[in-house]
Amino acid sequence: MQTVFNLPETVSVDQLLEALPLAYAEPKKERVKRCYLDTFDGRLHGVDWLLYQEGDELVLERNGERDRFSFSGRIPLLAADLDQSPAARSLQKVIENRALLPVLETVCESCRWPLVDSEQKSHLSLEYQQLSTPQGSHCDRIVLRPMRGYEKSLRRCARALEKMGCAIAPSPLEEWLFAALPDWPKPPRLRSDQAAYSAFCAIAHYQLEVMVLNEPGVLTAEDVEFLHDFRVALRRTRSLIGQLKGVLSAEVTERFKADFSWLGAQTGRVRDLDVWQEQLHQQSAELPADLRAGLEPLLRFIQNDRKRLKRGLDKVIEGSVYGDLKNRWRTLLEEQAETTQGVLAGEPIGKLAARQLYKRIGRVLKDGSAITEASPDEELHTLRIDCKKVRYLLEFFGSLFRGRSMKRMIKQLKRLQSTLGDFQDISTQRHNLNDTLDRMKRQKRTTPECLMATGALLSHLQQEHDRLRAQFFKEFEKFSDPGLSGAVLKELKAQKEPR
Amino acid sequence: MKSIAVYNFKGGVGKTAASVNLAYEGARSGQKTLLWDLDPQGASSFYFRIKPKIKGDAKRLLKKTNKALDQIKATDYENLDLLPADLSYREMDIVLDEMKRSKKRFGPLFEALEEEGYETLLIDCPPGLTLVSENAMIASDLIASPIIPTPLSLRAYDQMTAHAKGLGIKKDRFAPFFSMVDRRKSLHREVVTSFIDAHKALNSVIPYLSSIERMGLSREPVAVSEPRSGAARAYRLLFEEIEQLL
Repeated sequence: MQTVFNLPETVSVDQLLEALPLAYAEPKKERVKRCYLDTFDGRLHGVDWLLYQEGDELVLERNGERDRFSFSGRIPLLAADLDQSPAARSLQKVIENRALLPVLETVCESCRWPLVDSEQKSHLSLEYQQLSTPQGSHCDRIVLRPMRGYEKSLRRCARALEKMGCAIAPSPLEEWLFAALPDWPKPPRLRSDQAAYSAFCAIAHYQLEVMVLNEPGVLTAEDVEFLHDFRVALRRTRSLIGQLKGVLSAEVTERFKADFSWLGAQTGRVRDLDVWQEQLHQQSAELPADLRAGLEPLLRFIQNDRKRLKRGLDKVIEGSVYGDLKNRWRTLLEEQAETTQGVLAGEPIGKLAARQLYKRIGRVLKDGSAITEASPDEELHTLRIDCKKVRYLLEFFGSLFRGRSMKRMIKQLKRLQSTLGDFQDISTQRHNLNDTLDRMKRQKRTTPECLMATGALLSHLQQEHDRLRAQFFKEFEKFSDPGLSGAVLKELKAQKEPR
Repeated sequence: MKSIAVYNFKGGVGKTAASVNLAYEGARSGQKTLLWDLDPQGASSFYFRIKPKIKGDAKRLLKKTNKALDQIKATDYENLDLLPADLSYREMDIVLDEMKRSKKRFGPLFEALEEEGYETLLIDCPPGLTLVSENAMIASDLIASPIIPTPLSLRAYDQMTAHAKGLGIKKDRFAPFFSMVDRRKSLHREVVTSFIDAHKALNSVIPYLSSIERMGLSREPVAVSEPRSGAARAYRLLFEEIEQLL
């Protein structure tokens, strides 16, 4: 792994070279432009990886290793634009659906001297780097690049540099990159005794910031996750308003409930198509090879649908109705005027949250237990919504309840919700598929191959439907285990009715 | 990992020049390559300006594969490392003879090298029919065997493959190629043509060229010291042909 040193102002590079225990050979000069990439949510920064474009290659630096691989040349780039090398595959796992966006450009002018022995064999090299960005950041540094088998020479040279006043310096890149990444809002820290109204405003304000942060990405659509994150923040906002009734005044609650419901409807269809397209790509891989091409007309039809709906979505995001909604909501959350407060505004949030969670978990247990093999699918869908409400409450207020049983329950809830979510996706897909096929038939856009492929797909969906229904009973049994749910309800009961 | 033993039991047939240049070509094609200089004379190490010396000795190298990995040195070329020669290798036969399964002792080291990420391994084998060469032949995927186009050399090649057959090494694991070919000699021309047809030898031929001899002065692969030379081209074609066999 390379060792990076700062260059003291009083020492020249020539002086450093003369002070080394090895001779130096002819230097090689280079000027390298790099474009550092990361996802919008800084996933590579999160795992301490560096990725940059250098010429027509991508270079991934992780744990001191450097891998080069090719890509489509398109930036921003998605997982599908990468090649199938092992490094590219690890990268795909980290970025998932997110696009790699340009974060920072650097220019590195370097002069590299091989440090050689009496046989003119290099043992390592010393590089003088002048690193800069178009934004005006600048850093001069000395890099010792080791070579395998010559660790002793590396140590001797490092010691010589230290004697000359050089100190091991952290790379400024991480700092520059971090500064260049979007400034993500931080989730609020709540106190149990905080007034419900103030806690409500803090949570809702955070969700609003996340929505606003994702707006440019929703419009440019570099990846589908911008819209997803936007909608998650929106759904949380709606859930907060709906579940903490009484914290806002009834009139304000009703108004914003309707406004955000309108925004949900405006943004939902495009997201549905994003999810469906992704599922279709995955499922087509499971179809017999000769049927796969039959899905092409369907995929094209969906893509055209999405393009049309996306134009509508862009108008909404850029339009005055949404702009006005944001302004009104922000004003309410920031001014916290008394007139907007409801009857429960002053109640401690810990107590209110415990009461709500107790009620919601109880509902999940009751509704879930009532589901039998003969129950219609709708009952599972209702339960999924119940679970989602619990999940959001836990996301908002989980930090107020730290019991071990709560953690275990959250884990099990996630599994149950994942099964119910997949089950819902299957139903939505079946509905979408039938609806889209009807429209395609009316427009004479189907082909016999397409009908065969979609027929195979429907039969695959039926199998998945049955499998997930069977899986639901197993997951619900674990979730409703009295040892688990009983302990959680006990904890919540103690908090909602403090003695 | 693809392993190629460069071996002929006759000496002076161009094994080291082939090993060094093939290893360089492997690295240049982007494969992480290791050249094991197994010949105690250390000529491959000399060509890469690396001291023909390891810590410990041949016995330690064979018994403790992790120690062997510590002996690897980077050459001055990207993707190309060298496991240097050592004088103690001349006792490797005795060390092997004292070990159990004395003909199959290179396997664990090859596995460790593969785990280390090497994609191509070249072994510059010493001449002679020894336990060392038998181990190298048994463990390698391919035995690239340089032959000088003379009747005696061909006879030696036949003896070598017959001996290898007794070790369970099939003839198709041999990739014979002509080395030090002087096209001006009619004998060389005739032998090359008839042998290639009869023995499925590689079509690539390494000519007798002064640029290869000058490697001893430049101490660099020919593709580095004389990149446009016929020798550089010949080794590149030889590597490409060998790669297709693997």
